[in-house]
This record gives sequence, C-alpha cells and structure tokens, in this order.
Amino acid sequence: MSAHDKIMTITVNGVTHTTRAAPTTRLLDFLREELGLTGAKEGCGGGECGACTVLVDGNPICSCLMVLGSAAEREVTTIEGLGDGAGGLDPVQRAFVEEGAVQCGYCTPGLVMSARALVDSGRELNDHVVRTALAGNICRCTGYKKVVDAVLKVAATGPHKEQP
Amino acid sequence: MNDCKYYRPNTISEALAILSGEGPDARPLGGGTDLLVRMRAGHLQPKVLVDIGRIGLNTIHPAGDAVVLGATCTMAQIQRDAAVVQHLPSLVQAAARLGAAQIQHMATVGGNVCNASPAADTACALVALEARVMLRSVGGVRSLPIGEFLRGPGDTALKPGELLEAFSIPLAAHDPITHQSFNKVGGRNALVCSLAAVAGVTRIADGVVMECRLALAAVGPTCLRPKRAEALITGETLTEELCRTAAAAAAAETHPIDDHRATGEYRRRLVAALVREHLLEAMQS
Repeated sequence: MSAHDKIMTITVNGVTHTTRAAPTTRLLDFLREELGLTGAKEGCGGGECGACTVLVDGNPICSCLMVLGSAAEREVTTIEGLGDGAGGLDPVQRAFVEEGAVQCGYCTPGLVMSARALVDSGRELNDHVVRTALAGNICRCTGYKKVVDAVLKVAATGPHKEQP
Repeated sequence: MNDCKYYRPNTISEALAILSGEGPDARPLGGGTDLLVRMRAGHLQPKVLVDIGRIGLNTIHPAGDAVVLGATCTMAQIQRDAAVVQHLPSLVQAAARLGAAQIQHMATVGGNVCNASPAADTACALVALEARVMLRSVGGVRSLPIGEFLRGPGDTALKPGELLEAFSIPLAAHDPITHQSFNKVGGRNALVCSLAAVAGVTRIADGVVMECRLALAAVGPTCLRPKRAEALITGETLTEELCRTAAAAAAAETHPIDDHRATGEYRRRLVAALVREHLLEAMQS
C-alpha cells in the first residue's frame, strides 16, 4: 500500500468493510466511530489497561495501539462478534454472568476477549495461567477473583459447549 | 496522528526505497506499542510512517551455528518457536516478561532494540547472547555486535535510510551445562518497565566456568556487560562465596540513576541479587 491508496478492506466479526478512513486512524476509533461497535473501550490509550482489547487473527491486541493500516485485510473480532448472533451468549460471557464477574463493566469487554483468546489457545488452564493471561486487563473495581473463577469454569465445563 | 503519511510496503526493497526517499522524517512502524504511545504523548512527530509489518521480517530460522531472528518477530512468536525455546531460553524469558499478552502479540524484538531504552528486556537478553544486528539499506547490508549498536538512551548506530532486518544469535557450543537466564524486578509482575534486569549465559565444564556473559539493564545509559565480574569467575569453580563476590563486583560496575521508579542505590542492590541468583543457578545446574 502506498501513501496514496485510499481504500482499505477490513473484516470485523465476519463482515468485510471497505473504508476510506485514514490508515493512521486507531483501530479502536475506527471500530467505535465508523462501525459503531462501542464494546471496546478506551481506558488509558497507552496499552496498559486492556479495556480496548480485541482479537486480530485470533490474537488479543490493544486496539488503541494499532493503526487501521496494520489491521487491514485481517480478521478482527470484537465483543459484539461473540455469541450466536441471535442474542445467545458465548460460554465465556455466560460464565462471567454466572460467576458475577462484572462490576461497573467498563473493563469487561476487554477481559472477555482476553479470556476468549486464552480459552481458544487450548492451553491447560490453572489459576496462574489465567492470571498471567489476564494481567494486561485492569479492573478498577478490582473484581479479579470472580473473573478468574469464571474463566476456570469455562475451562472446566468446556469452552464450546452450549448450555441450556 | 492522522496527518502523518502512511506506507505499508510489501517487500523489504520497497520499504528501503521509501525510507531512503522520505529521509529522516520517516519512521519504521513495527508493533507500535512504543512508537504510537510516544506519538500520542507528543514526544515524537514523524511525518511518515513506514509499516514494516508485512515485508517478511517475521521469520526465525537456523543458519549454521546461529539462529536468525527477524526484526518484526513478536514477543509471542519468540515464546512459541521451538528452536528459540530449545536454544535461547533467556530470550524466551525476556519476551515473556515484556508487557502482557496484548503487548506480547504486538511488540517486536526489532522495535524493542531500536527504541534503545536502557531498560529494554529483549535487548538485555540479546546482549548476553552476543547477538549481531543485521542492518540493511538500499546500499547493502552490514552487521554489528548489538553492544555497539546500542549507544545510549534512544540512540543507536542505525543510519538514515537503514532498517534493522534481523538478529543473528550464535548458539553456544552444544554444551548441556550452559545456563541461561533472564530475570527482572519491576513494580509489579506485568506491564512494567524494569527497575533492573539481568541476563546471563554461563557455561561450565568439569565444574569450571568456561565462559560467563552478563548483561545488566536499567542501570546505565545502555545495557552493559560487567567485564570485571565476568573475568572474576571465568576459569574458576563457582562457590556461594564467589557468586556473592562476583555479584557485588557486577553491581559496582553499574551507573544507575535515581528516578521516579527507584533510587540508584536500590537498582544496584537489585543487580547484585539478580546476578547472584543467575550464578547460583548456574552452579547448581
């Protein structure tokens, strides 16, 4: 891509978008302002809090530190892309609800995306692995215990099992 | 940030042509975890960004007695590469301690080294491993020991128009008792700038230290090798007493500053503790 190419494509939650937005737009701003996907939040804007976490090609990244040009032609998944598309929750979201792992909710989309990536990694999970994987997501309500319990619960019940 | 020109070349030649054509106003963009933060803070205002994320520098491959690590390899990639895990455990430990998962999936080893922070974790490991940096420009390739590449805080030997392409990391003689480690102390476990960090590569044969390379980060203008401490133990049999003496010697070779993170005196004590820990582990391995 040269500096003069104005059109990019980007796939978000399975839908491919064509955009003329500036390639130096932050991915976070593109998602929130161009696509109206306001699940990912801006916390620190510097890669330290994890509130803006989304998945790019399955990997958790800080969308406040990625420019649109770097995300172009890749697959982006946001919190809005989880679940069955008909209002049914993803197993990670369901576990967060059941364990009461949400307080004010600002950090929750980021935490869920980090947890989703961890579960998808297929690693064997224990308290230490979960805490390390979520260390980049800060919860100002400090509700970490229930978050860790929720992720371990997903691991125990099966990440993809639909529950009634 | 939006008024900055952006290129995303597909090959290294395209990237080099842009860097050489745009001159000193152009900055390579790797993972962005440092550059974009500094741009937003207004500390850096490059007029041109050259996104080098898709020019094929994200590979790791063996080359004779060395591993060639591409500049845009991420911290996550380093941790899962079988050859790196097997031969360069200290680099894996450094990559695992740099930032949290999100940063590890973005931050590149080339970026960590080119930013030339005295506290750079992977730079510290690469100094102890005696890596060479391979620099490419439209004029050709040159290579330098990483210790010469890093000149001071934010200062490297990179010339205008040049791109750090890869690191060549020599593999130690396949000696099962080479002990490698990287360890750091920060204010908390994740996402923290090191108060002090130490990487070590110590090779022992028949109980005698054949070679010891230590790298100390965040205790001087750039990552430094405590040559006196290294010489003190080379050719000797390690004892707990000698580990302590060498650790004190290493700490005495540092030039730490007092800043908002820690006092220089505290950093010096951390270095002594971390060096001692490395040597004790080597002794017991």
